[in-house]
Formats: sequence, structure tokens, C-alpha cells
Amino acid sequence: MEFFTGLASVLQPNHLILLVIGVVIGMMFGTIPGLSGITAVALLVPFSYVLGAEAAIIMMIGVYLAASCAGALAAILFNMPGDVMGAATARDGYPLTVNGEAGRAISMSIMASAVGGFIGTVLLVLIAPQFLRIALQFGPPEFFALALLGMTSVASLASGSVLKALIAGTFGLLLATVGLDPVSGAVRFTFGVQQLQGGVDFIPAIIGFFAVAEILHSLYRGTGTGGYSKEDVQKVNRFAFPPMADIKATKYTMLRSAFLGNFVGMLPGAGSTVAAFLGYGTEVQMSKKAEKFGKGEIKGVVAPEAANNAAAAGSMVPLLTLGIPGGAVTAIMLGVLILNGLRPGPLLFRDAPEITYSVFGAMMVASIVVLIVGLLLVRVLLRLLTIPFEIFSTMVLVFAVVGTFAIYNRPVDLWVMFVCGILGFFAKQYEFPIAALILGLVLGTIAETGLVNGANVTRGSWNLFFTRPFTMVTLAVAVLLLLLPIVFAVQRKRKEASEPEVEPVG
Amino acid sequence: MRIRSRTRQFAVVVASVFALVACASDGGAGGDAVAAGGDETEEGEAGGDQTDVLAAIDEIAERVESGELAYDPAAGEDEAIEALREAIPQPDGYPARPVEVLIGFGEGGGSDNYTRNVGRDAERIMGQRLVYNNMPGASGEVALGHMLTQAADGYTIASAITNQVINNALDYQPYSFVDDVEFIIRQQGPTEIYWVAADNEWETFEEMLDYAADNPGQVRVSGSGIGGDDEFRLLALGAEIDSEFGFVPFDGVGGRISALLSGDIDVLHETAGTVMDLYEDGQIRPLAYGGDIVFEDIDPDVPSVAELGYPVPTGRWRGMVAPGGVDQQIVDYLHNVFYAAAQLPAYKEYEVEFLQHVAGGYLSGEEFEEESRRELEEIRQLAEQFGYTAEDLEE
Repeated sequence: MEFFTGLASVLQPNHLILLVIGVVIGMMFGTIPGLSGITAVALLVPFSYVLGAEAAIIMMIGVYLAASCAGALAAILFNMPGDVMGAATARDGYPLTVNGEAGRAISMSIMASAVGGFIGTVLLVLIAPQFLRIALQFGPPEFFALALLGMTSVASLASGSVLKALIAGTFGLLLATVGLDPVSGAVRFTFGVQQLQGGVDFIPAIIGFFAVAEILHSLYRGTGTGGYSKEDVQKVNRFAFPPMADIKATKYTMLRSAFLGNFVGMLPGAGSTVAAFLGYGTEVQMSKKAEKFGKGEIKGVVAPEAANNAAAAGSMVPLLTLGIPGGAVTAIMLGVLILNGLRPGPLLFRDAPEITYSVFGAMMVASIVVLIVGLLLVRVLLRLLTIPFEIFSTMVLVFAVVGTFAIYNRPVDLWVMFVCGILGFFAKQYEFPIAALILGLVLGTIAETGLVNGANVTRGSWNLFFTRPFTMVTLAVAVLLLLLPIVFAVQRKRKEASEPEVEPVG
Repeated sequence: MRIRSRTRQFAVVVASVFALVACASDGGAGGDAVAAGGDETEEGEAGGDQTDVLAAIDEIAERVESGELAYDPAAGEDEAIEALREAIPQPDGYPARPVEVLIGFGEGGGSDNYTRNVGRDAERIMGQRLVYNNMPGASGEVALGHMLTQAADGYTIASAITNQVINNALDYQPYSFVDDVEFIIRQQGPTEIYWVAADNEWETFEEMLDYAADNPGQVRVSGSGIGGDDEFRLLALGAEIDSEFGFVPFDGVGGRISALLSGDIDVLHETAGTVMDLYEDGQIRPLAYGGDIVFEDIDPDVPSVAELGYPVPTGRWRGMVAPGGVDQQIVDYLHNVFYAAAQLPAYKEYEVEFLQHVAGGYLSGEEFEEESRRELEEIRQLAEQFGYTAEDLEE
């Protein structure tokens, strides 16, 4: 029942207004490549003194969920995701835009985000404490298994050649090794550049590989993205509710991804970075029409978005129950709570239960606000597609530079961005899937620490990598996902083999 | 025609972007080559003054404590700040603009908290803003490396922690921490504690050590990421009992805590402040205090490692440094400002909150340098003893 008290607190006019403002800010920051939810939440920190802990957290949750949702918008419209979460969505979202279905893709992605966030919050309220116990069982060997599971989706990110996807994925893994070895501290592949010891962070890499590369490529081709006319935009409703047929066709996708994303989001450390990729990969491999993905399949937009926002909800669990943040944004929220004299952790439920229930309530209301504000924004966003390429690309490059630098204030990140942009240009030219590369980069560190620390945790016993309950399940799922497409292919061949006998009769 | 205008557009964009990069990476470069150590005589003269200044600051802090001087951290100025400004001799024309403080770790971490909290009153005393710049990577070395390329004019300083000395000992960097920086002040000392899960079978630290002595590598201990003070404390402890520990480093505190609670690791070597809640909730308990201080507030019956007679080579301290060659007057001024800020209620409350007040840890710039050099030698020896050097790791 405390939950409804929390809900009521969020629905107070002043809190609700802050939440809506937060959502609008999050939408803006999330959409512009280079500015992310992290930047937005970090900028709000000073205001938390004035607002007080509860109001500040409610507002930040609005920013957080909206930014997780909006991260996909630039990915869909311009193939320019600003964060890991959008990298998976870009694969099917951008082809939809090219096909002239940008409105449909955007409204569906907003819908999926909202549904994912909502389901994630319901799960959070209902079974969070039980889930947390499971999440705690996730030690290094489990993270290694999870990374392997994530890597099985490399093949699903291939556009045409699986070999090229593997090369791109491996290159991503290689990039992940740059910097200090996460366990022993040895310096690797920095080529004497002291600043590179911090490693290649994935946000500069993503902005380079996607946004900068996309601009370079457009220059090379002489055609820009967009190319939508004013009339195209006018065709879309002011409140762009997605077509019912799409919702019906993807309802199970949303559910599945939300459950998956929610759980992954709860794992301290992995956070929501892997969720989108896992959601996407699972969907491709579960699908009987895997070949449709990458060419504008709406499920390919829905799956990562639902997973991603459910993960955002999930990441609140370790934060509130143990005081440990799952990602960068939750780490800042932790700081805000501490600054306001509240210490998230097991005692928060006892000392300040109203905060925890406000958080739950805010997540639920924020999902709905995201849906409404998002759908109202669709037409405004589509108008971006009518901006001439010359102007648009200049703006994006400026934002990319400012945003990349703003994350860690490291000059070296800008070089990483430009080099990745040039590499990305060639990758595009020779049709290497960039998403696979990003996946490798994100999972590389998780896999490596998982493996090395795992060997330590199991006291050097390799058996334990397979026999701990969760590694076993995770690895089994990975194997299953690898084999499913083959099984489907065999089935299809059989069908094709049997069909010709029937056809002549019909 | 269209393609040409497009190319021109692109050229302009690229040029402006490169200009931005150039501004960012070279802003103020060129001062890095200023030789250090030219101010020895001045330092000697200033020695006497410094004692007087510190005494004056202490007196002001006492008057603030007793309520004699008005103190309001939210205001721009108050009586306490005015008194401190008078007591602290200011170098000519410094600080004329905001001072950038580099933080080698992310927002919300221990270093970030320390720097921003001590900065709250420091910037009021200085009458100039401190601009915090989190530049995480390579356990603080990305920020330190960046600081050393900046002009030695006192407008770029950084907060440093033990890792900087350790990395210096391991020779990973193209520079030397102890030789190339100007030590301003050390303000925080180690508060690490050896924790176990509440249901662990070991009742005492000795029991754990006995088990570790009989089963080398089987006791799994976690600490913060790579090349940290945690690892060197364990190396020293292992050498003492003729055994070794299985060290499992996690970068984030989240990974360490969940590993302890799930039983993946046996012992957690962690600062008191971050896990206090779990202790109060009864999920974890201390086996021993990591250094030589017993935390009366937590449990006076738990021994400290030093008390038990084991070596403690280092621990997590935090302090401020500047690029080598900064004018000694500015270094002294900064020392006094940070020293004073740490005596005021805002910072003190934060220290109590994070249980830092027990550890003390204050050292003047000179003592800070001496202590760092001592630690450097000790860690070099340990590293040699265990083959933990850059060359060995590269194999």
C-alpha cells in the first residue's frame, strides 16, 4: 500500500510538473547525439540542493527514462545513436526511415520504451527483493557467461556476410583491450599515448562510428540523410499513436524484452548497456524470419527499446536496496541522495521509505509521461529530417564534439571519436556491421574481467564456469540461441523440399 | 557545383572541430618544463610564518565551533571566511581567476566526494570558483598526466590518491609522481577494514590468517581495481604468513559488495564509509581494521592489523598536488586554504558521514612528499619481491 502513497506523492502538482520538465529535458538531451542522459542528469545535480531529495530524484527519473527512450530517436532518424542503447535500434530503425516510415518507427519505439519502462516498474514493485537475491548470485563467472550470451547476437547483427560481422565484433573486442588491463594493470596497445591508458570509452566510439561516419559517408555519396518533404511530415498525426497492427504484432516481443531487460538491468555493473543488444539478439534468433531483420523490421526497433527501458527500471533495484549503482546515471543519482543526507542501501527502506516508494511511483508515471510527450514530439522530430544536410551535419558535428568532450573532459576522447569516424566510414563502405563492433567493445571488458576474476573466484576450477546454476543456464541459452537459426533453417529446407510435391496439385 | 560547396562546408566544419580539439588539449601547455626546486630558500623563511598561520586558522576554527563567528556555507561570505582571509597571507595577484581542480575518478566516488567537499569552503576563502573536472581513467593517471602538461601557475591542480605512488613504483608512466608534482596537502588517511559476511565461519582475523597460511591462494579477498593499495596490503600480509591470498579486484564498489554477499569472495577490504549501512543492517561484520587505527564508533573490540603485529605498507590517502614548479608562495597559500576549509563545519560533517574523521591523515606539503617517497620505496621493494613490475607483466 505504501506504493500508492508514493504514487500519490508523485502526482502532486509540483512533483508532476518537475517530472514533465524532466521528461522534456531527457528527450532533448537523449535525441541529440553527443548529449546523453548522463550529461542531463549531471547538469541537474546542483538543482537538487534547492529541490530537496525527493523532488530531485523524481525529476531525475523523468530525465533518465526519457533519455533512455530518446537515445533511439537519432538512431532511427539519422543512424546516429548517442549511446550504446541506440546502437542496436539503429539497425532496423534507420532502414525504416529510409523507406519513408520514420513516423511509424519513432512512434513504435516510443511506445516500446514506455511499455518496457512500465512493465519494468511493475516487476520492480512486485518481485524486486526476490530478483535481487538472484542478481546477487551473479558473480564474475556469470558475467562471463552473460557476455558470451551477448556475443551470440553478433551473427544477428550481420547484414549479409556473417564473416564480416565476426571481423567487426572481434575488432570491437580488440578495441576493448586498449588501456590498462582491468585486473593486473599492465599497459596494453596505447602506443605510448599516456592518455589512452584510460581505454577506449564506448560513447566517443559510438558517436564516431555512427554519427561522424554517417556524415563522412553522406559527403562521399553526395546525398544526405533525411530527404523528407514538408508534406511527408504533415501526413503524420499531431499525436502520433502507432498503428494498432504494429502493437498487436509486437506485443510478445515487448513482454519478452521487458522481462529480459529488467533482469539484466538489475545486475550491478552490467547495467542497461547490454540489455538493448540482448533484447535485439534474442528477438532475431527467436524469429522464424530472421532474414527480415536489418532491413526495417519493426520488431527490431521494439525489442531493444523495451529491453532498454525495462533495464533502466531494473537498475533501481541494486541502487535502492544495496546502495550500489548499475550504471553512470544511477551513480549520479546515488550521489544526489547522499548529498541530501540519504544513504541508499538496506536501511533506506527503514529510514526513508517514502523515497523508495516515490522512486517506484515516479518510474511508473514517468513511463506514461514519456509516452504522451514522446508521441506529441514525433512530428517535431520528423521535421528534423527536412533540414538541409549541410546545416544539419554541421550542427551534429558540433554537438558530437562538445558532447564527447563533456562526458569525461578528456581531450583524447575527441581523437578516439575522429579516428572511429574514419574507421566507421570505411566499415560502411565495405559493409561491416558497426553494431557488431560496438557490441564487441561493450562486452569485451565484461567478458575479460569476468573470465580472469572468475578464475580467481572459483579458485582456478574451470568446471565451475559451467556448473554454477546461472552460468549453466546462461550458457545453455547461448548455445540454444546459436543453434536455433540452424534448426529453423533445416525445418525450412524440409518444408521447401516437401512443398513442390504439393504445389503441382494446387 | 553542389559537391564543391559541400566540400567547402565540410572543410570549414573539420577546421573548426580541430581548432576546438587544439584548444582543449593544448590550453595552457608550455609551462610543463619549468624546473622545480628553485624556491628552497624561500621555503625555509616561510617555515616560521606557516606555523603562525596554521595556529591562527586553528583558532578561527575553534571560534566558529563555539559559535563566536558566524558561519553559513550557503552564503558568499561570512565572519568565519573574512577572518580566514585575513589570517592567510595571499600571494600577489593570485588567484585572479577560477582554479581548475582535476579529479582522476568519476562523479560520486571517494575522490570526487573529497575534492568537492573540501572545495566548498576553499572557494569561498579564495574568493574564486574551483572548477571541478572529472577525468577518470587508469586509476587517476589520465588526470595526473593531463595536469602535468598544464602550466605550473597554480591554476590547474589535482587531487591525488595512493594509486599515484603505486603506479609510480611500477613505472607505468612516462613521468614520476613524486618527482614531478608539487605536494600541496594530504587530508585523508586510510579507513579500510577487513569485512566478512555476517554468516562467515571465521570469528577473528587470526582464524582467517591461519586458514590462509594452510591454504595458499584459497582465501579470496577483494579490493578496488588495479594496482591499488588494497593489493599491496595483501601482498605484505601474505608474505608475513608465508602464504598468499587470492586477490579479486573489482572496479566498482557494487561488484565488490555483491561478490561478498553472494560468497564469491571471502573477505572484502573496503573503506568504512561505503559499507557502513550493510554493517548496521547486520549483513557484514569487521574482522580487523586495516591500518593502525581502531574505530571506536564501530566496534572497539575489533583489533587493528598493526596491533596484531602485521605490516601495513600503505593505505588509501587523498590529497592535493600541483604541477612541479608552481611558486612556493602559491603552494603554501593553497595548503592553508584547503587546511582551513577542512577545519570548517561543512567538511567536518562530511568526514563524520564517511567515517573519515577517525583516520586523520593530515600532512603538510613537505611531510606529504616525504611520506610518499617512503611509500614509494616500500612498494618498490614489495613489487620486486613479488615480481610485480612492468616488465614482468608485459611478458
